[in-house]
Amino acid sequence: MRANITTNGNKAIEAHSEAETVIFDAPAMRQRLMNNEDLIRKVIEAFAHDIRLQIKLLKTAIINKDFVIAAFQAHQIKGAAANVSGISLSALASIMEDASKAEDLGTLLEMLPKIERDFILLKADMDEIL
Amino acid sequence: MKILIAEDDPTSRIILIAIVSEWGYEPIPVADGEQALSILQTDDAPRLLLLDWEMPKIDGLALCKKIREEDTSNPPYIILLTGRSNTEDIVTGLKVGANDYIAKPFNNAELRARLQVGKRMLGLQDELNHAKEAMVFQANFDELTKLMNRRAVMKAMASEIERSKRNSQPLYICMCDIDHFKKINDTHGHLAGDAVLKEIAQRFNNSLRPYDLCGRYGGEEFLIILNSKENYVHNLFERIRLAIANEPFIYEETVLDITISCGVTLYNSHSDLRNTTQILIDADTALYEAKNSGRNRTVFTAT
Repeated sequence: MRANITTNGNKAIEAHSEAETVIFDAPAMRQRLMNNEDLIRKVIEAFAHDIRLQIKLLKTAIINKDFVIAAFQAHQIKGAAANVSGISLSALASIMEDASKAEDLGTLLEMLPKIERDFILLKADMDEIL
Repeated sequence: MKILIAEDDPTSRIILIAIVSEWGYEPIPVADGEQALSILQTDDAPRLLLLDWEMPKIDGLALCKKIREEDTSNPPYIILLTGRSNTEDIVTGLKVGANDYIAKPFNNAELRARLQVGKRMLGLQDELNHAKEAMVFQANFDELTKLMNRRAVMKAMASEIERSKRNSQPLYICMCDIDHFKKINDTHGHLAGDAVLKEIAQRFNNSLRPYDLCGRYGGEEFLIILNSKENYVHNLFERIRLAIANEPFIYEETVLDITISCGVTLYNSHSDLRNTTQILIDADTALYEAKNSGRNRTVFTAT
């Protein structure tokens, strides 16, 4: 689920909106983690702890208009979310990474509450499978 | 097999550790490029590397460059792990020295297959290195005694003469010959002769200092090259001779009394105009004098 950024990010946001219903692909994550319940629990816990911090750092970078740090943090969130099949969160982070590189503050400010919300939804879905 | 996993994202790191362990590898996880570099500088460092592109301190790309700057016959196999998937990035990664590339989020089966390719390549590299080492050994060392062969010891002698000239240090060149070696072969067989040669080489090694040079010059002839003070060198050659003569050789429960004769010439760096051939002739002349005056002795001739 990669979306291309335009200068104002609108197309990418629209693309994300169309597919944002897929928050968590649990079977895909289970398969990747070899259906190992202990590992699944460990990964979810590490992911939740790490992403909370990453989102906080992303938020600070956006407030400080530090687009280099913002791109790095968004990239980290994108990769970590993709690894646990957090499809929507990874796609949002990808949009924010591109927006950071384009120094598109408007898109970043618009996406920030969405990424926070997506993380809460993803965490709730993950807790259900534990 | 050890795998270095350099990945700053804790989630990815936990997943990678778990799955590569499941496949029988021994993961060595680190969270940044600096830690990875420090692990790679240790003895017995992992040779199969999974490096994340985006990492703090030293990123995967810079780490690749640093690793490839090392001049080694045993380079690691590097797989770059990254969310970047455009051709330009892949080319950049491969250009700086990555052997392979896998996009995140990775597919387990693909990662496993790529690690197996890496393991196979490292195995082939090991085989090649062993073959090269064996060739170098064959070219420079005597198969039986494991001492330098004639070609290598002559080369070493030439370079020691040059060093002696530069440092104005005297050099002693000694030609040793096993007394009545033909008789040992004729009486006890060639395998006994081979055992004697091996044992003599071993005793030479035990008697000489680590920086002294010793090689098999011919059948039962050895060349020893050393620099030392004159009073000490007499003791050293006496020690070598006695190491052979004082302790009997035992071959298949038969006691063999073995002795050697040695001819030594001093190369005096200040005034010596002899070339290597002339030096060897002088050492050989001293050796014949040792033989003719009763064997089991060392004769010195100074020029």
